[in-house]
Amino acid sequence: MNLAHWLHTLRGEGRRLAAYAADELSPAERARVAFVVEACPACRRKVEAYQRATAALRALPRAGLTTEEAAAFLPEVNRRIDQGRAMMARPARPGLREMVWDHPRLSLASACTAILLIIATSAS
Amino acid sequence: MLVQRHQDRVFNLAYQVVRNREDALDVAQEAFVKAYASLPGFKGDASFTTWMHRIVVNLALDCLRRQRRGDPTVYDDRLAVSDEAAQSLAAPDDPETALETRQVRSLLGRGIQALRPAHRAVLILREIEGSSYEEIARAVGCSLGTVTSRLFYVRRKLQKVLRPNLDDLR
Repeated sequence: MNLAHWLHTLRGEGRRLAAYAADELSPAERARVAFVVEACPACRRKVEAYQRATAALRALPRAGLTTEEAAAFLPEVNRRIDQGRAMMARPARPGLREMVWDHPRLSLASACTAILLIIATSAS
Repeated sequence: MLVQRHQDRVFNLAYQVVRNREDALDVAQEAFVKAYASLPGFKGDASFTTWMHRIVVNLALDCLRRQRRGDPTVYDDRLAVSDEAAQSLAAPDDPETALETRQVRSLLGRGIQALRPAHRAVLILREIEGSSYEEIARAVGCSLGTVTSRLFYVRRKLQKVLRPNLDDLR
């Protein structure tokens, strides 16, 4: 059994070729796959296709900020941070206990309504 | 200072994932706000860049999820933006080579656009940001095995997308 045949019988043959094209194999595995690629024209074509795709991808220019966007970037980040701080500093909504103490009449009325509802429900 | 040093890189990563300048700018700025808020929790077990990548990728994926829930057509609309961006990128002086380069970039832009956002993030981190598999796993929040599988899947897909065009150029 030659090495090319060995590679074709392996699970993940495609993965090895793709990793070989991206230069991501260990030196030992790289040497083995290189030997196969030399001997197998179909494998070589696959590797070349992966290499061209990877090269095209790596050559894609980076998206950059325009001068205006770059200048406004930090002030906007600071504005958002300040806005977040202001929201944190805002007094929290009053809890139930504070509501009861602040509005005793309303609380009493709510309690009476609840009691009446319970009586009406149990009577029916 | 930290913001100014990293803002371009953070914006680029956000842009590559969301494929829209306005959203990318919002994601990039929000990433720094989130980083500022989470700074006390930054343990330093990953590099600042990896940590930032994680924040950006998560925010970018959230942004896409929100938009796709709200308006399913947004994703298709961006194809034009991506394609236009690919067309307008600087190309070599030789007209023939410039045309070929634009064609390849346009195809590549469409290929990247068609990927699932989580797959796109892995590809961008590896091929454009040059992150290691471990850094990608930390940034995306998945296992090394998943990174390997996703990378193989997207490389094969892009290679297929480009194959007819590249064969013509040989």
